[in-house]
Amino acid sequence: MKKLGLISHMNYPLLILTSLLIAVGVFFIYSASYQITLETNAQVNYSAKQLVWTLIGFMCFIAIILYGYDRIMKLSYMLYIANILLLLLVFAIGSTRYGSQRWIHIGGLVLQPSEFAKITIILALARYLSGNLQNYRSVSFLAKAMILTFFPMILILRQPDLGTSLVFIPIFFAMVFVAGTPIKHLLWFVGAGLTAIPCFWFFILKDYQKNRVRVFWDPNLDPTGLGYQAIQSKIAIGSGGFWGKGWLNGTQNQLNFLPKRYTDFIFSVIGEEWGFLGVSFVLLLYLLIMILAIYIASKSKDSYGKLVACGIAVMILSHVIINVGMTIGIMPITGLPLLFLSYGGSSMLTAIISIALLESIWIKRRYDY
Amino acid sequence: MVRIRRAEEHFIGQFEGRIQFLAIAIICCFFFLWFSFWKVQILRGDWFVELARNNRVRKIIIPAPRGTIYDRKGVILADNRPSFDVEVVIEDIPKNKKKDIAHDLASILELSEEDILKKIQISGRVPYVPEKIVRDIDMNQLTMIMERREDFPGISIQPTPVRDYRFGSHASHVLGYIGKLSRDEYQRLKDKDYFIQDYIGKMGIERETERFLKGEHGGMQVQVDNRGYTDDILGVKEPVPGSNVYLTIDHHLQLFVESLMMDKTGAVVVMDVRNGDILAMASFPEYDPNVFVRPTASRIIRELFQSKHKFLINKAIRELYPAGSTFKMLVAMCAMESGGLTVADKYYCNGAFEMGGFTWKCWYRGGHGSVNVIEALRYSCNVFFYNLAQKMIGVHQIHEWADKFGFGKKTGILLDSELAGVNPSKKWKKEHLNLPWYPGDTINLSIGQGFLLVTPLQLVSYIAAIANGGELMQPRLVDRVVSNTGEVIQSYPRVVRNEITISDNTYQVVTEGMREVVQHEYGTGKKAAVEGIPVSGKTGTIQMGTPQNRIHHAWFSGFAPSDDPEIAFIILVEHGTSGGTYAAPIASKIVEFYFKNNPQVMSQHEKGSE
Repeated sequence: MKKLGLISHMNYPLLILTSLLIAVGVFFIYSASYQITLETNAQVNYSAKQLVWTLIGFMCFIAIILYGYDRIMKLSYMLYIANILLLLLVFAIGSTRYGSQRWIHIGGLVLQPSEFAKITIILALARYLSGNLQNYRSVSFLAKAMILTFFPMILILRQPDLGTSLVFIPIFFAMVFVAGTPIKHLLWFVGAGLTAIPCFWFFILKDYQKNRVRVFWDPNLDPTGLGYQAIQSKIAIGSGGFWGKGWLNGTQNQLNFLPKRYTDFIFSVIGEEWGFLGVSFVLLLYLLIMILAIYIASKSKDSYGKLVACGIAVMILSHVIINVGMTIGIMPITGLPLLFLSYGGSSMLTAIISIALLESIWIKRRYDY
Repeated sequence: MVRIRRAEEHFIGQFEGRIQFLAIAIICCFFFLWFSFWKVQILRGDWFVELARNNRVRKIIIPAPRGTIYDRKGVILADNRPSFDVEVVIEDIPKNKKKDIAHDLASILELSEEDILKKIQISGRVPYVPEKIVRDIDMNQLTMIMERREDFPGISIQPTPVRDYRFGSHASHVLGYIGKLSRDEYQRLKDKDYFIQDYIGKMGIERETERFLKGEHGGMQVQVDNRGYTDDILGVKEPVPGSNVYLTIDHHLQLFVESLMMDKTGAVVVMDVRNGDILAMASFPEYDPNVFVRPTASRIIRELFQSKHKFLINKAIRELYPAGSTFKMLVAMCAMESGGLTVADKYYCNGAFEMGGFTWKCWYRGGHGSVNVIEALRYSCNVFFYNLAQKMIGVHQIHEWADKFGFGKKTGILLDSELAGVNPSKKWKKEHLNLPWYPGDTINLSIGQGFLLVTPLQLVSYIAAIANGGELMQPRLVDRVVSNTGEVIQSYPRVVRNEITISDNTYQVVTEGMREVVQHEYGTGKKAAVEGIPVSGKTGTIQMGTPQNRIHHAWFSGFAPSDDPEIAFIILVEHGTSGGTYAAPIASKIVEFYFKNNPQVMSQHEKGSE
C-alpha cells in the first residue's frame, strides 16, 4: 500500500522534536495570555487559537507530503511570483499595526505574506541554483541569485519589517555557499555588503528602525518604549535562574511587565518560568531539528532537495538567533516571531510547511510515489 | 549534458564539506546562545531576581496639560488647575498594615474605613500601576498626609492637572465637557497616545478641537523606594502641552445673555453678519461642566443625562422648531423674486382665510384689512402669506428659496451633532410620510409652520444673510488655534456658503418690513427697540405639540443697526406665548449691551452714517 509506505519511511525523530516544540509553544502561549484569558472570561484564548492553527498546519503537512517536494520544485517560480504579488497587495490593501503594514484580511483570516516569503524564496533559490550548477564559477550565478532574493526582501523592508527581511540574508548566503560558489566570490559580496551598510542606514532604514538599533546600543535612550521592553525581558529571563519560577508563576509575565509576551517575547516567558533548564531544553530541540535538517540535506537524492533542506535549516537558525538574541539583549528588537513557539497563524504555517518539506525530501530519498 | 553531469559531480563533491561547515556554524551559534543564557540566568541570576522581586522600574505617564480655551478677546474660559489626588500602589503596602492604613486615612479624609480598605485590596488590575483612592483633596488633608508619610507605605499624593471651567456653566454648551475614556474609546485610541485613565473631549469645542487641545503625553521611568516614593529618575520624556483655542465668542456678551435668560429655557445666538462670527451662543438650562472632572456624585451626572430638561442638549443646534413667522421674509422674497409680487399688490385680511373647505386663522381675529407686503411683515399678517401661497408661489419655489438660505442642511459650525432640520418638499413628504403634498401644506409652510423644522442657528444664519445682502455665512466659532510656542497652527477663514442673488428692490422691501416691525408704532416687535440704535427684526410665535397639549414658543430674530448691519441675533424663549412680548425685550437689551461695549465700532458707524 502506497500510504503505508509513506508512513514507514517518515523521519520520526524530526516529527517528535517538532511536536514537542509546538507543545511547549502552546503551553507557554497559555501561560503568557493567562491574564488576558481571565480578564475576558476566556473569550480570548490564544492557546486554543494556536492549536487550531497547528491543526491547519498539519493538514498542509499531509498535503505537501502526499504531493511531494519534487513536484513542488516545478512550481517554485510560480509560488515565488505569487508571493511577490501578495506582498504588493499588502501595500494596496494591507492593514497596519504597530506602525507597519504587514497583514491582509481575507474573510475572517489574517495573513502575513512576509512569513510565507521565507519559504518561497528558499524554493525559488533552490530551483535556480540547482538548475544552473554548471555556472557555479561565474559571478552572474551569484548575482542572479541575489537579485532573486532582493525583490521580496526590499518589499518586506518597506512594510517595514526589519526582522523578517534580515532573515533573507543568511538564507541567501548559506544557500549559495552550499551550492558551491567559490569562497572568493562570496567574500567579495560580503565586502560589498559591508560597504553598503551606510547606504542602508541613510536611505532605506526608517527612523523608528534606526531608533531600535540605537536603543539596542543604549536602552536608556528610550526608557519608556523600546528600552523598557529590552530591560523587562532581560529581568524576566535573568530572574528565572536555574530552575525557573514554574509554569504560570512568572511575575514578570503574569504581572504584565513583559511586552508582546505571547508573540515576539514568548521565549522570555520560557526563560522566566522554566529557567535555564527549560531554555537549554528548548534550545536543544531547535539544535536537533537543525542538525536533522542538515542530515536530511546530506541524504537527499537530488541537489534541489539538498539546497531546500539547507535553506530551511538556516531559516530556523536565523529566527532563533534574532528572536532569542533579542530577548536577552544581544540583538536589537526587530519584531520577528519565533518559529514554532510564537503565537501567530502565518508563522505557524511557515514552520510546519518547512518541516513537511524536510519530511518529503527524507521520504523520497528511498521511496518514491 | 556532460557539462551538467560534471557540474552535478562538482556540487556533490564540495557539498558534504560545506554542509559540515554549516553544521559546525549552527552548533557554534547554539553554544553562543546557551552561554549567553548561562551568563544571564546563572551568573547574574540573583541580581535579576532582586530586580524582578521589587520591580522598581516604574513607568509613569506625565499627562500633557490640556490646551486653554479663550474667548475672542483673550479671556480664559477653560484651563487647568492642580488637583491633589491620593494614589496607592497596592503591591507596596505590607499585608499586615492594610487595616492600620485604612483606619488612619479614613480619619484624615473623612471617609469610611471599609471603602478605603476595599480600594487597597482589589486585585486583578494592572500591578504596580498607581490607583487613585481619592481625588482633589484639600490643603489641610494634603499636609496631614505629607507629615505622616512614614505611616503610609504605598500611598502617595499626585498633583494632576484637571480641567477648570472658570465660569462654571458659562458657555457650557459651546465649550462642552471632557470625561474619562470609555472602554470603546480606549480600545480605539490606546495606540494614539491615550492612557487608560485619560480624559477626552466628549462634547462641544472640547470634542471638536480635541486633537489640538490634547497635547502629547510625556513619560518617565523612575526607580521608587519601598514606600512607593520616587527614588531615582532613570529617564524623562517631557510632555508637550496642548495648543490653545481662541473662540469667536465674546465673553462679556455671553455672560450678559446668560443673565437675561437665567430663569428661562430656550436659546440665544448672536452672530456678526459680516463674517459669521458667533459672538454668543447659549442654550438654557445650562449645566456646569466642572461636574465631569470633579469627584462628583454619579447621581448628579446621571441626572444631567436623564433629566427631562435635557441639560446637555445645545438647543441652538440640536433641537428643532418650526420657524414660524420669522420665515415670512423668506416667503416674501420668494414671492417677489419668483412669483412677481410687488409692493403695490394688496390682499384683504378679515382675520381668516378659506380654501377647499378649511379655514386658517390670522393671529389677529379682527383682521388687518387690506395690506401690502411691508405692512404684512409689520403686522405679521398670516392671511397675506396664505394668499401668496395660494396664488403666486408653490411649495417648489419656497423649498428652493429655503434651500438657498441653508434650511434643511447643517450650517457646518464646528460643533458636534448639529441637526440639519427639515426643508419640506413634495419629494420629502413622499419619501418620509409616503403621502402626497396637499395645497393646505403650502398654506402652513407660508407662515413657517407645518413640516418645516429649523435650528436657532439656521435661523440666525438666514437673518444674517438678509442683513448683509445675500451672503449666507458659515458660522465661525473657532477663530484660531495657537500652539504653546505662540505659533498659529490652524486658522479658520471666513466662509461664504452661498451667494444669494436678491434684487435691490426686494431687499429694500423686506428690510423695510423688518425695520417697521420694530420701529413702526404698530409693529409687532416694538419692544425690541433701542434708543439711538435702529433695530430691525421679526417676531414669531410657534405652536408645537398636539391640539390637546399645545406648547407655544416665542421667537425674536433680527439685526442691528438697520442701515449698516453688524450683528444678527435669534432669541428663543420656550413656553413664551408671544414673540413680541417675551423675546423682543431680550433682543433690545442684547443690542444695547453690544453697542455700549463696542464703542469704537459704534463711532465708526456714526461717522459712516453722517
